[in-house]
Amino acid sequence: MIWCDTGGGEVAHIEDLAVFVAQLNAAGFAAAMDARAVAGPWGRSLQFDLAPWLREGPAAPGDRLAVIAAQQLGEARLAGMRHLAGGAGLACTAFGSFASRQAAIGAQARLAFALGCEPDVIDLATHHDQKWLGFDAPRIGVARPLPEDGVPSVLLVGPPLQDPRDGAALIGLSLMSSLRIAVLTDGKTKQAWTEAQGHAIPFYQYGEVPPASIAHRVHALALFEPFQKSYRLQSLRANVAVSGGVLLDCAQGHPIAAEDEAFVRAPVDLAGLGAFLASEILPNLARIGAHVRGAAQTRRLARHDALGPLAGLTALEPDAAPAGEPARIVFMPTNGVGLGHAQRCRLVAGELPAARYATDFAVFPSCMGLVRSYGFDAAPLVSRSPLHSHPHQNDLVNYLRLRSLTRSADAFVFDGGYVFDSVYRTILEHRLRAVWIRRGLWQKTQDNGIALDREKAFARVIVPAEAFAELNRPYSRGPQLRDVGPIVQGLRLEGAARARLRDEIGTRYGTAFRHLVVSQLGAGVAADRHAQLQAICAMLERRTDVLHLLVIWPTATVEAGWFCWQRSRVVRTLHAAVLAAAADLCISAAGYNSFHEAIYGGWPTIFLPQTGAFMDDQMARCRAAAERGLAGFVEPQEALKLERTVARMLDDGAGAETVRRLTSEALPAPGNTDAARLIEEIADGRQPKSGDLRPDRTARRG
Amino acid sequence: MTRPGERQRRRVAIVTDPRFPGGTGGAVAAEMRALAPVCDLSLVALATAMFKGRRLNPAIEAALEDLGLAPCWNPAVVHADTLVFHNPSCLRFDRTLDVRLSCAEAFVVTHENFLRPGGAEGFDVGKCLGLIEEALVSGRRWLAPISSHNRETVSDWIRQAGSDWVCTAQDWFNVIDAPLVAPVAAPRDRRGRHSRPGPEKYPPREALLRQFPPHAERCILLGADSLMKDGEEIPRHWDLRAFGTSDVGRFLGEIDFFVYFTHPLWRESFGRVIAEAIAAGKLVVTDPDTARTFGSAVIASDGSDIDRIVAEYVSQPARYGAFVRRAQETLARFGAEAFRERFSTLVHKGQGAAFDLV
Repeated sequence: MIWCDTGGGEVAHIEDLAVFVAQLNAAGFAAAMDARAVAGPWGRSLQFDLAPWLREGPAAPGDRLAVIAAQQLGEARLAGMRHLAGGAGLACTAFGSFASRQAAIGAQARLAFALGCEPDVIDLATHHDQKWLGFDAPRIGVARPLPEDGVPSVLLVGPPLQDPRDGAALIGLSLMSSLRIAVLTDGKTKQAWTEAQGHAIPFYQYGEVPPASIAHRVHALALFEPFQKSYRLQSLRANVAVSGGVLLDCAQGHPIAAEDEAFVRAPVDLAGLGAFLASEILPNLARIGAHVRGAAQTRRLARHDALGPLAGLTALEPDAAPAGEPARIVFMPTNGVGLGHAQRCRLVAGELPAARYATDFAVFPSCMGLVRSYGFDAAPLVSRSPLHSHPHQNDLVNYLRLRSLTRSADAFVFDGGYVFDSVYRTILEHRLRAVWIRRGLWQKTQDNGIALDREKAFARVIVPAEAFAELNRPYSRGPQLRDVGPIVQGLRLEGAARARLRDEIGTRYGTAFRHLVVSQLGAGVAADRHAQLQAICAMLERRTDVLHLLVIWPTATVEAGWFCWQRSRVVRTLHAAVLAAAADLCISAAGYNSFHEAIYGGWPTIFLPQTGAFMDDQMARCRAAAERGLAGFVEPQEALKLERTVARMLDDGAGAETVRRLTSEALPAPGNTDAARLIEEIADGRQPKSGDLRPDRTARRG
Repeated sequence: MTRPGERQRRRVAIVTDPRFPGGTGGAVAAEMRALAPVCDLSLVALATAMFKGRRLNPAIEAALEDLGLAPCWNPAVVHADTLVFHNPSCLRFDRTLDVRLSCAEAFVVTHENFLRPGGAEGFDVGKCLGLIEEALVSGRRWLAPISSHNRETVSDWIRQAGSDWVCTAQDWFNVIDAPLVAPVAAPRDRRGRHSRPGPEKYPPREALLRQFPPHAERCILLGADSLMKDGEEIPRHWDLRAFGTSDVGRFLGEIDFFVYFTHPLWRESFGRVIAEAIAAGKLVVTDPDTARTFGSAVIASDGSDIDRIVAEYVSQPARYGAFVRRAQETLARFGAEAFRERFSTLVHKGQGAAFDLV
């Protein structure tokens, strides 16, 4: 194990440390950080950068310590290293840019006293003539095979975008069919661009992902400003170079190429860059890349010469995929409000040929029972909790679990509205073939900017349709998008089977009934449905011909008041659909699954939408069904209307009429199987891996 | 001291940064007091980068006041018969030494070991000596080690660096002028140590715990700033005091055994705190390298047998008293009169293979 630490305690030092450790690991070294030494009030992004590499000290025999920015060493950081060494001598290699030989001697002495062992001190400042060395930390080149098929990708780093003409030129570049572009810039510029222009061009901000997670997508790296002071960019440059990418100096006056012969001088304005790339670079991509990779300094980067004695440590063998095993697909549904995402994922997973694909799930606790009940393995994720110190604390844990679970995965399927940091980072870090099942009908007031921004990590986005055409709205465009029919469990129960089940229900609950009513109003997370359920129970209590099953998920909260009714029974089950299919009336929320199960199952239903600001637009679904006469629709506050509507459905024949209309309604064919086939394509590698730099347009036009 | 043909009194310029805390400052102050009666003494004060913003060492300040001298800060030129440059390591952070040092003979007193145990350089010796060489116009010049261990590190550095500096034949020892205090009649297991708070002054925590165990009646660690800040739980039986927060004399009055070990990768060049502890009537236990300077006046130990040593002397008060009194007698070797003799020898009796400019 190589423990890593930094001499500086500022956020910039910790960021560099995170990059350094990530680079070491990507290069195959077992590197980590002492959790105690890097604890701090860091921002969310940095917490995610650090999380995978945190370990508890002290160091074990045979471990080593690597210290960067050793010229900054102060007492507080030395104390942390002393704790890590734990009284036993800890071998150490320290890197830094020392203002004088005395500074290096001083750092060596301080480390020796802290670690009980003389360290190797490598003064990077003395090697400034060797451009392959960094300043505070050694540059490490991590080679990744660049995709040879498809369109070359160009990453523009810090392009000028203040002038509207530059923006127009960037859009012009993005329209070239011979290349894909993406932009790496600061957070402010990214925000300004996406607010004005949307997500058609993938924008990354500098700290968004570690350099090793993005470099493998870059055939050409175009830098518009000197980068020597940024270890993150130095590492990106090193990774691109050793992977055989092309390095372009687009900075005013070409200061980078003046110091670094691996760089090609390129136009400094975006307007001129397209023609230059088309005529000079793209036709010679392989030749220039080979030249860069073969350059002496690139070979040193690939050999990790800058690491000094650390370079000789045994590197980890990369994970080898077991031969002959079925392709492994990991599904991750977000729990959402109900179990809709999990239900949808298990429906799609069930369509995958079991002989060819092994499916695992990573699910929140509320979904564990459901997923396992269908025979899938499920690893637990951690739900958000107000007891956590940060809102994203659970996601940090989930990130580690997902990283571990997907290490050997062939494909990753995410179903949810918000792409968590854990999901986004795991996909990029493991270069997963990732699929996003993204149902639509977002509310107009919802800000899904982050989710759409992270769409760039997915190789494919499967959009399950709504049953009614006017509800389908596009949120992004591009070849990665695939529309499929509604993903739905269409459970119809008819004839003897339905009669038998109703008899069993009557027997089980000791209540004779003429009408079976099933209510399923959701998990109660988005809104308190207690009052509505009590009203329904009270309303149905006045009837003598009804048995009312109040159906809730096993994980939902049960209210004591529900148990005081004669004609209502609380049923905790994962299989509500079976009960609903046997009912004369279903009173239901209008989430995607509940709604489509009712419509495709032909169940007479009154919809009571949930209206949480973060949920899908259930009102729109309800209106669409009601306007077609396919369901009753009662808004949450309309208690009297609910009673009238129930009476109409049960007593005035409206229920039967609804069933008749549902039976004759031309609905789109379910998309369960299509979704599974689209996932198979990705898992089999019949489509590019996730991370096309421009997912919003076809691979080759014209 | 005066020889025929010489001026009445030799002009001796002491050159140093008078803000040195700890041993060097104390040694310079004592040396000034020792030499003032026999020389025309001046203190050339260098404002080095190492002690930027620090105040004058109190011992030097007191000596200057007592001797009626004022420091001469950063003069352009220094003329003297004999120039004594105390502790070249004060130049470690400077790029230039903007003074012309003109003298017949120069002694550069090496208060800091040139090499640490294991051979790592203690500071940028070549740079510091180089600055002095550039500033110095001298008939003869020497490096003057202050102890046998210090001499070894200086000699090893000279050999490794291929330097043309040479060492004086005899050590330029620290002057110890502390008043002698009689040892207690009935010593108890009251242990203590005193040093500047630097990490080099402290052994690893595990060793320190053995040297200052819970069963000791007192464990006072003066100058323990880094231990107080390092985030580890402080053993309840340790009485940790920050550097400068306790009067040293009062602290020494609270202990009977001065247990002094440094980090194994660093060594004292002389060990002035040890001499002060002996003068205060304490029995001193220290590592063999440091013990060599004081011979039989201290007990050399590898740190593993402190409990046994303490128990023996606690159970034999007479032996304790005899040991400390004998140790105090040997301190006379480091007294002002002895130093004047040594100074005279080094200045007047030649140095054998001394580097000669003319």
